[in-house]
This record gives sequence, C-alpha cells and structure tokens, in this order.
Amino acid sequence: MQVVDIRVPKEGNSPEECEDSLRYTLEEQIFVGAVADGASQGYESRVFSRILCDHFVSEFKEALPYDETAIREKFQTFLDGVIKAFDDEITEKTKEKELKWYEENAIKTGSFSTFLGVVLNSEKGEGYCIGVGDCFLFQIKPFEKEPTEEDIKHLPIVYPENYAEQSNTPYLLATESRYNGQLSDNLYLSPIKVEKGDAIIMATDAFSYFLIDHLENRRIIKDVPRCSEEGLRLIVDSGRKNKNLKNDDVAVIILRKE
Amino acid sequence: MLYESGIRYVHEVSRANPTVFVFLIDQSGSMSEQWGTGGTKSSEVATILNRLLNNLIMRCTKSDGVRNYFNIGVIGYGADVKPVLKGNTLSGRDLIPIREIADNPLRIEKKTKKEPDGAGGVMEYEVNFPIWLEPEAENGTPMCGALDYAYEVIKRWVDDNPDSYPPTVFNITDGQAGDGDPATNAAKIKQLQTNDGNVLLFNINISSNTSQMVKFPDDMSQFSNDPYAMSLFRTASVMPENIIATLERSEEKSYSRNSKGFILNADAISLIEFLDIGTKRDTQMLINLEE
Repeated sequence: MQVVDIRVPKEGNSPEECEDSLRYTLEEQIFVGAVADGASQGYESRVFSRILCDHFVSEFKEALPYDETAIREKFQTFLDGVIKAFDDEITEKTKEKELKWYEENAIKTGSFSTFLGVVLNSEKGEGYCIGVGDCFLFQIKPFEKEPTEEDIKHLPIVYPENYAEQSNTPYLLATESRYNGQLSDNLYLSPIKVEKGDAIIMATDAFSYFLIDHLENRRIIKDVPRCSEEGLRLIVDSGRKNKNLKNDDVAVIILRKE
Repeated sequence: MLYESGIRYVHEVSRANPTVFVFLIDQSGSMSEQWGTGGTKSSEVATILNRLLNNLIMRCTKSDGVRNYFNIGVIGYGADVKPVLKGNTLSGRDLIPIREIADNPLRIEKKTKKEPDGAGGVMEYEVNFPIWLEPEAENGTPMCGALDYAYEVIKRWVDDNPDSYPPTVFNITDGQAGDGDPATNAAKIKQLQTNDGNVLLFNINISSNTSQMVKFPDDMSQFSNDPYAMSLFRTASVMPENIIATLERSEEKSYSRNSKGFILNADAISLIEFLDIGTKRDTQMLINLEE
C-alpha cells in the first residue's frame, strides 16, 4: 500500500491559515486516515478539523471488521471526545485573553467541519468509510489504455453518492452539540472493498468537486491516482490557474493497493 | 450598464481585494410611523442594520481577529445627508473597514438567543448585541442628495480598488424622493465600475400598509399606475445571476434573469432576507469569500 498526501492552503493564504486537515497511519496492514474541512463561518475551524482527524486516527485503529451499529455508536463517542478536546484547547488559548464581543459570540456559536474517515485492512482489502458533508472518497480501478464509453467499470465510485444534492449546503459537524441533532440522518457509512491496483482518493470539497467535474475526463481520472505529491501540487496549481479548481484550501490523501 | 446582464460579479472577496456595501437609510419624518406589529420603521430598520453589521462581522471573524473583507458605509437622509454610524472613531466617516466597526460599537447590549437544543427542546443563551445605528426620523426625503453622496464616496473607492468585486448600494426608503427625480443620480452611481462589473444599486421600499408586496420584478406591470414605484424600479440594477440563483434556492421559486434588485412594499422579514442574501459573500453562496 502506497500513500501520498497534500495539504495546500488557498492561494494567497499562509499554511497556518489552512482550515483543511488530514492525518493517517499505516501500521501492520491497517490504514486509518481522515480529511476534514473546517468551515469558514466557524471560530477556530482549523483547530476543530485538526482534532477530528487526529482523534479519528487514534481511536478507529481497532474498529474492524465492519459492524454498522457498532461503528455508528463509536462515532458518537468519538465526536463527544473531539468536542471536549476542542473546548479544552479553546479554553486554554483564551484564558489569559480579554475577549472582544465578537470573539465571545463566535465561541458561543462554535466551529463546524465536514469530515471523511477511512479504515482499511490493506491485506484483506476490506474496510469502510464514514463521513459527514462534502468530503468525498473516490475509488478508481486501474486501466492501461483509453477506455471506451461502454467501459463503465472504469468510472470511479464516489462515496457518498448524493454529492449533487449537498454541494451548496453540506451537513456539518459542530462543536456545539445542539447543532448535531440531525447527525444520525447525515452520517454516511459504507463498506469498501479494494483490489490490487485500486486507488482510493480522500479529498475535501474543492478537490472533490474538481474530480467530480472531470469524471468523464479519462486523462485526469487516470493520472490523479498515480500522482506523486509533486504531481498533485501541479494539478492543484494548474486547476486553480485555469479556474477548473476553486481557490480554496485542499487536503487530499491517495492510497494505492499494490 | 455594461455588465447589468450579470456576466461578471465573479471576483473573489479577499483582504487584498475587499468589497463595499453602502446602506442609504431614509430618515425622513414618515419613518416614525409604525411598521407592521413591531416598532416604528426607523427603529426597526436600525435594529435590522445593527443585526446585519453584527452578522457581517461574525462572517469575517477568524482566529486572528476580524478580517477586512468589507468596507461599510451607512448614509442617512432626512434632516441632512450624512454618515450615521456612531461609535468611538466612527462618527462622520463615509467608508469604514469592518474591523474598525467591530472594534468600535456605540454600546453593547445583551440579548437572549433561543435555539433548538438538538434533543427536541429549546435552549437559551446570552449573546452580545452591539449597537452602531440609532433610529432617526425627521424632515423630508433627500434621496437624490443621498445618491450623490454615495456616488462621491464610491467613485474614490473604485478608482483605488479596480480589481475588487463591485460595490453594492442598498437604498432603504418608505417614501418618494423629495429633492427631484433620482433617475440621473442613480444612473451616475451605476455607471461606476470595477473590472468585475458595475456598481449595483438595490432599492427596498418599506411599507406598513397592506398593499401587495412585489419582489424582484422584471417589468412594471404590477405597479404601472404608480410613478414612484416605477422610478425605483427603473433605477434599480438587474441582479447578477449568482444573487438570483441564491434567491431561487432560498425561496424555492424561479426568478427571471432580468429581475431587478427592487422590492415594493417590503415587510421586515423581506428586508432582512434580501439584505442577508445581497451581502452574502461566502464560499458556498454567491461569489467566493477568501477563507
């Protein structure tokens, strides 16, 4: 299993301002990875997205095999822990500070983020993805030559499949529990099965919509899974330059089963 | 008029290229009348503007403070035509970076906010509600003077910010211009432009009578016997496609691509909703706001 990742701030912003996060581990054939997109309307969203990824990687390592009920319950416990860690960090950051009125209001509203986590046993090729909002997972089968239109099996599988409906108002995880009331209805969970040669791409919204817009573009769908980190950066740069990829923070993890 | 078809209005709003919102507030004597079941028109409009400024500031609040994505002007017209935001360093200033507005409210009141608690109940919590604008209602309606004032303010700004998303002017009034026909004055403002499009002028006529509200018309057929309404319609800009698309999503109805930024006989809710959509500049709606 090979893993490549990039995390790129929006052009014009510093790396410290990037609100997208990613984290993964690959130990003893178990891959656990996460990407998250802190929402711009939240307070310290980059902290929230970072804690989401960090906690997922540390807490879901043992969460195999696939058991939907158990995973859903575990996710709720995981989120409670993330919220507590977020509150602790914000309290620590602000305890010596005289807060302005808008900072007080922002803290009361809290932070928001989309999220995608993947747990995969690379040896068995089995695992699952779990997510909220418009972080997407793409599974791309290998192909050596230009496929024909009938060669539909080479189209990537996109999880979650309701991407067209949520592009404007994705559901968001929140650090204030009162906003997580509809979580169970919006928590996407699906088993995944990976074969030799498959690529899994986990991406936050900007890169995801770039791929979705190019699902029929064989060259991009063929090239992206094979990219090095440098190649991914070139794709992001040229996509932004050509206005095919929105100038937004980007977090991408690609894993290839070899 | 070059871009009124909505083919522009795509530039990203950023700290390097902020945009402008100018609010022209009718403060004539008739604004002391009751508006719906609330207070007077002037007090309700002041509350709505204070809340809007609050919301704009919250959209700009990041871990490093309030980012200057917007410059704001609030110009009152009644006894006089003048900037009307109050606060430590704000009085008398035409266009003010939003960070300065955030840091200099006149005072901060406390309000109780009610929200679903996520478990079937309702929770209440206290939030800060800053005040910058106080209600005023006196004398006539010098709308032409207000438009001229806005023109001078915006002209300087577009000259200095040619790459920015064009300024948007919201003219909120309950009456007829008392100092002439505003057509020429409005046309001058709309001719100003950045290289992303012309300045947008949106007219919101508020009313406490029971006349039918007309929202974002593309022709004058519904008020063809009302010269005053026809004048406001003519002077309003055609809305850019991104604003129309957002309205359509919000209201779940279709609007013509030639719909103008004009509401006749608006109630408070319609005013709030239009100001919210007309100023929305975030990553998921309308143009791109730098994250």
